[in-house]
Order: sequence, then C-alpha cells, then structure tokens
Amino acid sequence: MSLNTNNQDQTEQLLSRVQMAYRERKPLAIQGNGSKLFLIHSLSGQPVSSAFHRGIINYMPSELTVTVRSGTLLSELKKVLAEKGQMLPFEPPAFADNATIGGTIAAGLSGSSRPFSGSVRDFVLGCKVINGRGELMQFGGEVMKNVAGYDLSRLLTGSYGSLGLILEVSLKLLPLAPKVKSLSFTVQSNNFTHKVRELYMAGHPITAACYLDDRSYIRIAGSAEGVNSSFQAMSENLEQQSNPPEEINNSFWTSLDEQQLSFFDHSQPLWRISLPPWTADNFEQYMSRGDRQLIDWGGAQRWFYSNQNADEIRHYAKLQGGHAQLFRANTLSHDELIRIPKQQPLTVQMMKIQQQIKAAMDPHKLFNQGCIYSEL
Amino acid sequence: MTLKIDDWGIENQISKHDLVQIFSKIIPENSLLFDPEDLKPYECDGLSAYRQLPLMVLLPETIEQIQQILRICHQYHVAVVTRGAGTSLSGGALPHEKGIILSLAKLNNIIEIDQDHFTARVQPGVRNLAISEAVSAYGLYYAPDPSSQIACSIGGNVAENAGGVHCLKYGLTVHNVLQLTIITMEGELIEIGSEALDSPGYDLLALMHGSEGMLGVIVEVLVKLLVKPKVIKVLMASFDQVTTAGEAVSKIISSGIIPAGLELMDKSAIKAAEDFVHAGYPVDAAAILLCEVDGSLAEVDAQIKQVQRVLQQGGATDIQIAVDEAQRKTFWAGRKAAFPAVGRLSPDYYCMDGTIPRFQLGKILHRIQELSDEYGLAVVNVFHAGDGNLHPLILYDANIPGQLDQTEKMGGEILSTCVELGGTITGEHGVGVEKLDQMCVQFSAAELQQFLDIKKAFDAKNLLNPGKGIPLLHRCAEFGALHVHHGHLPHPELERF
Repeated sequence: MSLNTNNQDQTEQLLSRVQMAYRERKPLAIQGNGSKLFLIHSLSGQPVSSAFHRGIINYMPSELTVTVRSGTLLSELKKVLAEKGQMLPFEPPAFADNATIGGTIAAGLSGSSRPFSGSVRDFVLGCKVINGRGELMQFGGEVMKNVAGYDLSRLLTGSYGSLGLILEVSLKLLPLAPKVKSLSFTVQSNNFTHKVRELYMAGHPITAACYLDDRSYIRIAGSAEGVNSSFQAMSENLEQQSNPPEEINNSFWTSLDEQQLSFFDHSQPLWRISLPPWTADNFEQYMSRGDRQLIDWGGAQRWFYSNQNADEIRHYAKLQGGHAQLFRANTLSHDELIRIPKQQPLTVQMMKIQQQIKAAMDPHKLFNQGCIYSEL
Repeated sequence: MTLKIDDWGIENQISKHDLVQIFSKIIPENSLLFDPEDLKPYECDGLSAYRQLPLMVLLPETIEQIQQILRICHQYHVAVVTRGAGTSLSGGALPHEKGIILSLAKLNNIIEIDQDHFTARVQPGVRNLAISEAVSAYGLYYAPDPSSQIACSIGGNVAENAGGVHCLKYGLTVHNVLQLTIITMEGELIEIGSEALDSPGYDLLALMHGSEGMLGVIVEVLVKLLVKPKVIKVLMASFDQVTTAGEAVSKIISSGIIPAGLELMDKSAIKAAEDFVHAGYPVDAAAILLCEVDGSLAEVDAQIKQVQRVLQQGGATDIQIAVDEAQRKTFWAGRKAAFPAVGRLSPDYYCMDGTIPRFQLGKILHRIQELSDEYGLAVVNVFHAGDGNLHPLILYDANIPGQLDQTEKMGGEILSTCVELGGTITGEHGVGVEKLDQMCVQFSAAELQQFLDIKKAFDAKNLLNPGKGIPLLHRCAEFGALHVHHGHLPHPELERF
C-alpha cells in the first residue's frame, strides 16, 4: 500500500485532539511547520501541528479558486497553480522551504504586490476551522461574492491560530501575467513615492515598487503589448529627466519578499512599519546613525533596521497614521523581548473588543494564548 | 405578507413618551419623529414587501449625538436599527416595532479628499456615486458600483459589503475601505483599521463588512480610491444558447483575462431592456454577454482582441465592440436599466441574489426554468457572470392572493439550489430579514451559534438590528422540519417544535 504523504486528511485526528484539550481545559500550541514562529511571542501548551493535514481538495482554474488543506506546502501549491498559469495574487513570503499555506494565512503576510493586487485576506474566500469548543465549522465558500453570515474567514486571517485551528482555506486566484518586466533607476528617497505615483497615475500597470539605496525598483505586468508599450513610455519619460532606467531580473522581487537581499543581512532589530499608501519618505530627520531602511509597497511599508527605542519607533509610525511590527528581534535582549509586544499596542477599547472576540471563538483560551498580545 | 420575526427577547425598560422626552434634549425637534404619519416613510427599505413602523426615528447630525442616543438605548434596552439611504434589498433596515430607526442621512459630508494617498474620508450618509464624482477631477474614482449607486450610501455599502459590476477585477466594498469609525452599542467610539494598508491585532475591518448593522454604528469611512483607467472598451457578444454564453464566461477567464466587468442577460432580460432603453441589443439572441476591459491603450487593444477570439471560438453568433464612449454607455444603459425595465413587464418582481461557482451556471438556469414552470411564475435572468452572482427576477402580482407567498417559496428553492451547487444564498444583497430561513440551510447550528457569539462580543444585549442577518436556532429547527434534503434533517441535534 502506498501512502501519498501529499494528500492526507487529518480532520478527525485534529478534531479529537482539540476536543480532548477542550474537555481537559489544556492549552494547545497550534502551528504548521513553524516557519513563522519568529513573528509571535513564544507558545506554551501542548504542540499540535496541521502540517500532516495536506492536499489540494478542489482546484478549478476556470473558477479562479482553490481549496486546500492547511498543511499543504506553500511551494507545492504555487507549483500546481503555476502549471495552470495561475498564482496567489498576494505573493506571500515563505521564509522557509517547509512553509505551509495554513501558516501563511495565519500569519497574514503579503508580498510586494500587496498595494496593487491586494492582501492575503483580500483573497480569502472561505475556510474550515475548529473553534475553541472543538466544533468543526465552515465559513464563506468557494465563490467570489458571499455575504451570508459574518466574514469569519477573513477574521481568522492574520490571527496566528489564536482564534481557531484552520483545516482548509479557499482562495481566489489570478492568472499569471503573460509578460512581466522590472526596471530600476536612480532617485532620491524623498522623491521616490512622488515619482512612482506619477508613473502609476499615467496608467502604467505597476505591480510592485520599492526603494533601496538611492534606487527605485518597479515591476510592470500585463499583456506583452501593454507591458512593452509601458516599458518604452516609462523609459522615455525617465530619459527625458536624464535618468535612464535599466532593466533588472524579475527575481529581484522574490529576493525582496523572502528577505534575501543583502539589505536584510543586519543584526539590529528589524521593524516592519506599515504606513498609508504613497507615504513619502521623511525618515531622514528621524533616522539615527546605523539605521537602515528599505521602502516597499510604493511607500506604504518600510523595512527598518534600528536599535532605537520601540516606543519611539511606534510613536513615529502612529504619527504617520500607521503602526510598527517587531518583525525580527535579532539582537534584542531576552528582557526586551518579553517587554516589547510584537505588534503595536491597541487602545483599551479595542483590546476589550478583541478579547471578547477571542472569548467568542475560544472561550477557554486554549489556542496560542498570548501569541500576539498577552491579553489575547 | 408572511414575515416571521425572531423574538430576541428585547423588553424596553422605558415608555415611548419618556424616551421622546430624553431624546428631545439631545437632538432638535425636527430630527425626532414619533407621529405614525411621520414614521410612514421609514416603514420599509428597498424590500417593500415587508413593512413595520418603528417606535420613532432619530436623525442625528453629530457623532456625539449618536453616542448619547446609543447609551440611552443601551441603558433602557431599546433596539436600534441603523438606516442609510434605505436601499437594502433584503430588509436590512426594516424597523423593529419596539426600536428606533437611527437614520444617518444627515451625516452626508465628504470630510477630506487626500489626493496624495488616494483616499477619501466620508460620512456614512454620503452616496456611493457622490464619492467618485467628488474625486473625478483628480483622476481618481471609488471602484465598487452597486446598481443603486446613485442613491445608496457608503455606510450601507459597508454594512452589506456591496458589490457591483466591477467586483471581479476591483473587489467588493471590503477590498476598498481602509478604516471605519464606529460607535458601539455602549456608546464608545472606536477606530477599526487604519490609514495604513493593515492594522495590528485581529482584522475587525473585514468582520464589519457585511455585518448588516448588527455589530456597531458606522459613523465615518476612509475609502481607497483608484486611478481612472486610461482606456475602457466594451464588447457585446450574442449567443443562441444561454448555456453557451455561460461557458464562454469560463473560457474568457481561463484564457487569463480578468475583465473589468462581465455581465450576462437572458432573452427576456434583453427584450425588456431593449424595449425600455433601446440599447441596440439583439432581441432574437438567447443571451448576451457584456465584457468590459480597461487599462492602457496597448493593454486594452490586446485584451479585446483576445476576448474576441475566445468568444468566436466559444460559439458567439455575433460580436460588437462599442465604437465610442457614447455607444459604450448605451450598451451599459440596457444592463443598468434591467430592473426598471422588468418593472414595466410585471406589476411586481422579486429580485434574488444567489451566487454559484460559474461552471454550475447551466445547472442553475435549468433548475430556475423548472421552478418557473412548476410555479407558473416567469423569471428574467441578469447575472454578474464574472462573479457567479445571479439575480433572477421572479415576476408576480401582489394583488393576486397567495402569489407573493408562492414567489417567496420559489425564491427560497432557488437559493437552496445555489447552496447545493456549492454556492451561497446571498452574494451582495445581504440576509436581512429575507433569507433567515435559507441561513438554516447554509449553516449548521454550531456555525450559527458562533455568529451569535460574535455578535455578543460587540453587543452583549443584542440591541443592534436584532432579528436580521442571523437566525435564532429555534427558528431553524422549525424551518428545518419543513425542509428535508435527501432524507437528512438539517440540525438533527435540535429539538423540533
């Protein structure tokens, strides 16, 4: 008998595991293969992994949807989609070869296409989940539009397993663009957002835009005719300003999303600062010696290496209308790690509501307690 | 009308007289309506088959007034039904007999247009189309465009997660809103989401969308704006079989194109629209597809060519590309006027809103035809084909005794079929009071209880729009006893009444 390890239904095992925990009131530490554990506070409780709950359940390219078990490897899913000329439009970073789709949804991370195509939660259509009472539940579905009942599938996205154990997820897909080109040109950091926005307003099909070390990097995608014509028009526009662009390899964006660019070889704490769309750079005044930044998402996301005080960084992000997430602690001391929440602290009222939501989904705090905030 | 309202056990702890006294100290006299005559315009929303007078109607002008109103209602256990423009097609704004209508019609200002960040901050009573009109000069627009966009307000759009013709490419309301300011039933002001593209903690922004006014009162919305496409072209394809048109939809999408809009109309819809607006539709066709693509000139030209090729190979009998902007608008005018056009054919019609996986289109159309024959009620089909979102319009005459009941029953069967085919009972119109029974078909008792628990997380006393959106479990037990599918009783775990 051959056992196909890529297709295993562990619903019953996972369900009985959670039901036992519910009966015994014993907390669980839910994870996939653990490739994103660095994003949350340490888990206590008995480990439960969805990593063996694997397989693509339903993939219909003509419907632009896929339903997949949570333990399915992200790399495997991407490969199957690519064979049919499709993709996960939010370009999730994997950070490890064994990253699962369940972990991807639970961590809610989106790649460089995010401001142009949408985020992971934007493409979640439905999910099957076990709640903290050990009940099997299904929300949303495999259709594009669905307003029956509250949108719990999107609520679960980015909740790091603390609201439910995700068994299956249905996602909206998009076709891979027939043509993709990337280019790079010199620009001052404070002019980057303005320049990209100008090109975007001109109707060029931009799907990624970042700034690093006095250079802007832009990706365009669409039909061959559309992309070639835009590439030419953008080149002419830049040349007129004595700033001829050079074409670069599209793999740049994967290196960026996976944090494999040399920029990411730093030992200071790494912050992800999320800002309003097209926020112009005004970091100069704020950066200390040794700080380094990469601007992504056309200005809406900053990767920021800094030893500065967490409260200061968060205060600055908030002033700009955003928030700061401690993405990689790196050299932070153990004490600081305990003291500093990974995500920006919530207001008292907001925390109260989030606690009530946690209680509604997981009344005995069995799932990944304290992984985002100690109160949840 | 056989409207069954669930009893959420709300007992007002104050008389109407005393409540009027208290509210009159908070808002001006002309913003507080309590005479039955004044309440009449609020007795129903876009689903006019259901009517109910509220206790009173309040039209506050400020956030502080709304906070005070909610605190008082919370204190005295008074139900609150928030109302925007009242265009809901599912009875979402139907009054509660012992509750107030909180009309946000006076909160209708565009607070700020931020052309640097492509956002607009608006009050909930601002009309959907007014946003696009206000930002048009900056080369921007607000993408979701429900067909009621001239009248419907953005607060209601969020509450229902409104869609429209362009959702396949540009998303629903939930994809186009960054931040909401809401007031909880306890009167607390909370910001959900942020000016940034994401927020810390749980994603409550998504949860608020489509929550039908049951979790909080939306008092401010920060919407995302898009850059107006440089070129838009529309193509109309005719088919001699409606199923061939349905298959062509899948072929377009499989070919790697995401059209900005992709709409299907059947023969009766074509005829009704053509008689009404003379859009130049082929009245002898069994179905037409309207396919819109947008982008740069080179992109649009390439895509139109490709769509044309796919449609020709997919069995289209005729293909016309709108030659100019005027003809493009005319092509759309027929689609957009489909509902009023059908209104001329029949004294009344009942608009359904099921969604199915696209490949099931043939099956659902076949089933709708069977039901139409069985019930003796004609049906006109318009279809957001790209999204799999159907709007069958059942034609009836409310003056014929029993016909509305028959219509509702038939509609319920259409929605149950949508669920059986892997779809859902509502794509964009919401559950409201209309589809509570069908919620029992789509969800298990545990799932419904989970929804009720989530509601309580925001509104412990269940005072916000009670009786909408989520059925109480005993309702499903009663309804389930009547609806046995394949020999399986839904909710076998529940007592039957």
